[in-house]
Amino acid sequence: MAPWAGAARAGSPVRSAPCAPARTGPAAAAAPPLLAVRGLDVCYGRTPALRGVDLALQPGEAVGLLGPSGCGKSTLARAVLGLLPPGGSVTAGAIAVRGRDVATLRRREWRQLRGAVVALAHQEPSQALNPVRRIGDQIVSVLAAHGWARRPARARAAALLAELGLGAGERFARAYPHQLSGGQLQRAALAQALACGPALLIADEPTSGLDAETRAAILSALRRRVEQGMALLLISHEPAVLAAVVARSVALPAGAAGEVPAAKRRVASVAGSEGEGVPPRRDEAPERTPNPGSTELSAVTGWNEATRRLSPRPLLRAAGLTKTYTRAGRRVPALEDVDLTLSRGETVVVMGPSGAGKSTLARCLAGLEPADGGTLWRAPEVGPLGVQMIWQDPAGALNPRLRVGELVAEPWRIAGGVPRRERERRAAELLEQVSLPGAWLRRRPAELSGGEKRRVGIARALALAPAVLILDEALASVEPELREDLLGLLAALQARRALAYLFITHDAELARRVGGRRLILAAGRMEADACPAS
Amino acid sequence: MPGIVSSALRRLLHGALVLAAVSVLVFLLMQLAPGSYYARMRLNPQLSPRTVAALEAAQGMRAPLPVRYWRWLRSVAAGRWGYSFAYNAPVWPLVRTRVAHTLWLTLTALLLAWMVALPLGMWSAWRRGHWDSRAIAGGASLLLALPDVVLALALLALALRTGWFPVGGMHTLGSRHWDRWAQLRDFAWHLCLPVTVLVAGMLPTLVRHVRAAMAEALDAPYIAAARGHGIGEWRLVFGQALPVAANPMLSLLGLSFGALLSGSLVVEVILGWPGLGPLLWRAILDRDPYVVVAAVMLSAALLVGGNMLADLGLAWTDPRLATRGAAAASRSEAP
Repeated sequence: MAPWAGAARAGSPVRSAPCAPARTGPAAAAAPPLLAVRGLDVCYGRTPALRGVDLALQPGEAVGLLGPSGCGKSTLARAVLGLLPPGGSVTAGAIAVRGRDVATLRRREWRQLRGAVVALAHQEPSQALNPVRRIGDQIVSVLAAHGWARRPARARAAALLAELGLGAGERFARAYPHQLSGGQLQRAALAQALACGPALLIADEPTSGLDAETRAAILSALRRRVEQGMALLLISHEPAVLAAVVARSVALPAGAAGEVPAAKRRVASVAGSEGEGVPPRRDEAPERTPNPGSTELSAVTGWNEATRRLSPRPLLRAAGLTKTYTRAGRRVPALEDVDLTLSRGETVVVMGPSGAGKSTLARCLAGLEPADGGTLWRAPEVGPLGVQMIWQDPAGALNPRLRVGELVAEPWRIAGGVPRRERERRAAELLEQVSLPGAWLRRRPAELSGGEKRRVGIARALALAPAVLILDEALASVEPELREDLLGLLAALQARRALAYLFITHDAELARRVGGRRLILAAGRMEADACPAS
Repeated sequence: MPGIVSSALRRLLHGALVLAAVSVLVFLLMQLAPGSYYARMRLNPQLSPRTVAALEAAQGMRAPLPVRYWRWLRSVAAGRWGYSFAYNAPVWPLVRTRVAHTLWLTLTALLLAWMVALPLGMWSAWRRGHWDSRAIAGGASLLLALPDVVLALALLALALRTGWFPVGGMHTLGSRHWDRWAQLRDFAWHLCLPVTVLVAGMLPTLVRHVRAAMAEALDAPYIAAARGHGIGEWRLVFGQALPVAANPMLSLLGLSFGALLSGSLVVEVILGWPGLGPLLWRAILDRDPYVVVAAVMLSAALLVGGNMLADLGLAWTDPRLATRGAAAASRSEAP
């Protein structure tokens, strides 16, 4: 019998956490740690992703995992659940859950462990939910897989959604993933992970891409769970998020980089709380070329100068834009009478809470979705391909089967007229402009970190030399250092190409950092059209 | 709901337009084809040219094309579908029984082919990289490379040599006087060979499509996520991946409806099945225009109808399509 089987029994729909996690206490002191990772090496093919990682979690303990983009945080989470993608394998070290080495688990035992003992909330919820099944059903099937009966499972799913602020009766349980906003999806995916009351939750960036209010709600829900005895491994690049929930943080250095001495690659365990977690150490990956648009503030100032230098020439103008979706027979307004003008070289920031219609506005302006009413005017110089998007979800926007080189060159291939050699040369050039080494043309999206996918997304959007770039939460879950990099890059690009940016974000701090004209969207209406404090 | 009704009505209207266009096209093509029924008749030395000319005029074949088209439309409205010169009878009664025979054959084959292809394709997708998956893919390629005609002739030779199967027809002579159960068994026995050939023809395409659709669905990140929540493989395949993979499969099913009447032509001719195939084959050789038009129109109607059914199925299995349709409907309602 598996050592956790006693605690993970999920048969009875008792109201208080049916899969009751082991409590910390005098008795538990002698028990093996809930999760023990020793000297773990993970490789994708021959490329190392993790080297010599050590980590231990006691039952009920909350630990944060900090690390820069691309350091293998998500790989660690997947390795614990035995869900490494094809090509990935544990090459050394061991993972033990409740004292049992997971390498010895049989398929059936894995199934009992996943979800009930260790649950994973994925970083990209839009990818983690099945597009053709209702949210409620997806939570119910997790419960059903662990022995729950239909009716109590439904009640529990509704309770979980309500707990995470997706109340409103059956509405969210009956919705399909494509009907929800990014923030709502994130909460739905978290509800799915919490469904069986796991002994350990691995939350991979659970608050990325969320507005401050929702973020606070999620963090307090996590804190509540930890108080009830759940162990938590919280993966984030933001020390502030970690400090809000966990007592102890662990930093994972850039794992795959081959230059760091082995001793330094070991996880440094740091005690302390309230922002005392080690700041993300960004070991310089050797192949990375220096950023052409430097991260200096001067570059960002140059951005505003570029704006001033050019006389305002409108590129894009929307007047009285209206868009209504029909959901389950009811009409849900997404945009109501929105006016907006975007001029050459200008930066406009659209702010608003989750579900305010920000993404809908972006899609309408980019011509990806027809508006129901109002007018949308484009300057002739913009052309049919002159408005490009950089997406909220970098993984969803990249075809996983294509290589980076093909992804960046795809717009030229579709437009035609550019020979293959030329496409490759230009793709390498664009990659360099977004600070990725040319050798990465051969990689596939699955081999990139979240931050690197974003850079590829930017390169791809630039391929057709657009006049307008719409950035839909494109910098939402990027760690501060990389964000500065990307902002600097965007500023340099704007100065060079006189691009107009439409930044869509929920993050006031980021909006302030970006500068430019600021618009606030709430419940589909433009609420304010404030000029920035100079 | 009104969105669904109005989009269904719009689809019906589109279908009718497609059929009208097909009928015009078929008439034009028949006109362009060299030779005619009466041109062959003139070669017969026993008939005087004047008799042939009189017959041709009596059948209205001397009238200009638009007039003939109009007359044909009225004849369709009257349920006659034109007149067969070779059989000297209205087309519809001639075609009706044969269409029924063909549909018995092809619907049985279609059903069987899907019943075999679904589990094979799903298994093959789930076991990718293993020997059994490769064996299924290899078998499918082999069948794909084997022409229907060769298989039909081989089975015909088998039936002749061994006497295990009837070599043609739908019933044994005199079976009309048997009891119902014996008649049914006799019919099934006659179905065996032609259905086998048809299934062998459809199977490789279906297996490969099912396999590709399932493999793509099983590769999706949300399947990995669901696996991470401890959902078992059986439920992953049937509860999570199959609904996603249903989308391309339904499209394929809709297309295969279009081949219900036309796909079995060769097999029916070789194996002597009294369906639409032999009739159409003779009609084409004899330049019997209205029989050909009727066969083409029925095929086109099945294709349009099959695609409509597939679209309904898609709207039912894929909520993203349903919302898009509804959104389009609400847009068109907006003033």
